[in-house]
Amino acid sequence: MNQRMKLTVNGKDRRVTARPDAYLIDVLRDDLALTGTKYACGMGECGACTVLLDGEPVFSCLTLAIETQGRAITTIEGLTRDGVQDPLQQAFADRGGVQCGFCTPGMILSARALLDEQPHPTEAEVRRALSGNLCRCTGYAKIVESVLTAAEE
Amino acid sequence: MAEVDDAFGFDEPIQPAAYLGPTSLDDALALLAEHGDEAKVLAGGQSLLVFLRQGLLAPSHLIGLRGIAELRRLEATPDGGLTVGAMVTQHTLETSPLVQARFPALADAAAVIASPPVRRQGTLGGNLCHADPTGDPPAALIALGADVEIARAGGSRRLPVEDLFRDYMDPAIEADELLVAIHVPPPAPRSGVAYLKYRLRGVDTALVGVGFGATLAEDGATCADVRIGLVGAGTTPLRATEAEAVLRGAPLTDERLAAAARAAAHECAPLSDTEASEWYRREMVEVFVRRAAQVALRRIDGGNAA
Amino acid sequence: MRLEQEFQVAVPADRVWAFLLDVPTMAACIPGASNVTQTGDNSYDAVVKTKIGPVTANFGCKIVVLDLNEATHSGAVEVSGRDGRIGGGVKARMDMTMTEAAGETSVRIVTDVDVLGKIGQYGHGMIAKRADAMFDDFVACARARLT
Repeated sequence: MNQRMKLTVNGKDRRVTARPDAYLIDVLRDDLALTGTKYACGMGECGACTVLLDGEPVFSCLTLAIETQGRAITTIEGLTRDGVQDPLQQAFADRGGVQCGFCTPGMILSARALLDEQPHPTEAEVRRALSGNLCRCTGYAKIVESVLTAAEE
Repeated sequence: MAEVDDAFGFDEPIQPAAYLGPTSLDDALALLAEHGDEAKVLAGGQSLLVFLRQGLLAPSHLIGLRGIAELRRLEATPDGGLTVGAMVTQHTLETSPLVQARFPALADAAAVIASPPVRRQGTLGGNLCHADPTGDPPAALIALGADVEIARAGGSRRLPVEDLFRDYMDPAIEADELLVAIHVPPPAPRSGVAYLKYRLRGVDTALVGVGFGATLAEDGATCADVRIGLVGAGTTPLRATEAEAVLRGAPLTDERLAAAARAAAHECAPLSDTEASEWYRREMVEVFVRRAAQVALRRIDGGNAA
Repeated sequence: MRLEQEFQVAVPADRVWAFLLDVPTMAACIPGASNVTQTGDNSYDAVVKTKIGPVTANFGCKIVVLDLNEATHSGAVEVSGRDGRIGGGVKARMDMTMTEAAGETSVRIVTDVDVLGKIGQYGHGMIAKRADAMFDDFVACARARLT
């Protein structure tokens, strides 16, 4: 009953065989070994599993892999190109936005989507864009600061 | 106590659901006619995929609507109303200049659902069919006087949105039917509509949500028509008809609005849960009916009631 | 979670008592109950099917009747049920007391119920509402059988 699917992940075509009702998060982590995408609540509450789908932030725990065929999937691994980090990744490292790190991939991808649409957001816009991403360390100030820092560059 | 053996465990692994991806409405309706009883319709998936992931549902088939372009239309009708295809996302509604300008209550309701990633995938049709009593759009759509269009192979029907909610998470849609569109009538002259949500944390569902729509008579002070939608106030979204009766035909004074708010708090039937007691929800219905009325009245062009 | 429910029926307490202790007959009035079988002097198995929203649960239940006091018409029942497909269950203890006045019997039932596993996410407000609706159906059925 498994089904062949072709997913476009971080610019590369990847072929997987999975249950037709497989979730994107499971295919990314278990079949493609892209474990930068984190799994936590599994019900769209925490944002740890955020990825970009055609540039839009979505929860990969509430997305069927089969429905992402033909669309561009970007995970945290896809933000580093030729060894050069995305300005957001650098800013999170520089400004202490990483903390324990578990929410960081989702935070950065939600922030990436925001900056792609709006390169110079206000703090309120940053907070709104990140409102679906929870930080268990509760250090939101440094996270928001990191995004604003990346936006300045 | 008698023992329950491993109440959290499963007896058997859940069989995979087959995925069907029709590319036309006719194909989707044919698939529903064939598989409707055992299948689930997958719109944006932001509610259904939670239930599936937890094993609360085990459909034989998932009928995904992503490939049906006509369900994504969002357009003004010639008479100034709005047609929203069932698969239009909350993100599209909250950012649409047309919806913001002409139907701000709908844009406001879409903008306060869950979080940005949920709104990117979650759809208006999916939200209505989930029939969660704490969802936001139902209250706004009741206040806007919207209809839903429900199709099955060989026909379709329309019903007022408040009649869609049969019971807790139980929409009045049969197994072979599909909610295809939401129709919002053109705003009447001298009318205003608002949706206000009360919640404890930014991404919560509504503790209480109120949609309030009012139309003034030509004198600019008398209430010619009013529609009040409530969420978080019962096992389904509700239309507060007793509160409406307090206002219809009467001058929209603060005293009248306060009386209507009390009537709404009285006629609703909130649940008690860990977020709030029934008593507290009634109190908040009263407060938020008043507040939503004030916003709606401010939105009336040329009215002097506010 | 504690549920307190009460109903009146215009027959003597002895008749209500006999009805409630005749588990197979009484169980026919429980909405969604089926396959009631006696497994011991005071124990029964049953299946109770209930639907909340899109989710249908089939609870395989064990029912044990205990603490019967015929003189005071009071007793207690323990019910434990489990749905292995969706992974969840309920445990309940129901304490029942009866008073009779002028040929009418008033039955009071206090239930302490624990909802286990994923069914618990519905929240006790919804579950209490559903329990009340099931109780109303049960009372209507019991009245019809008794009067």
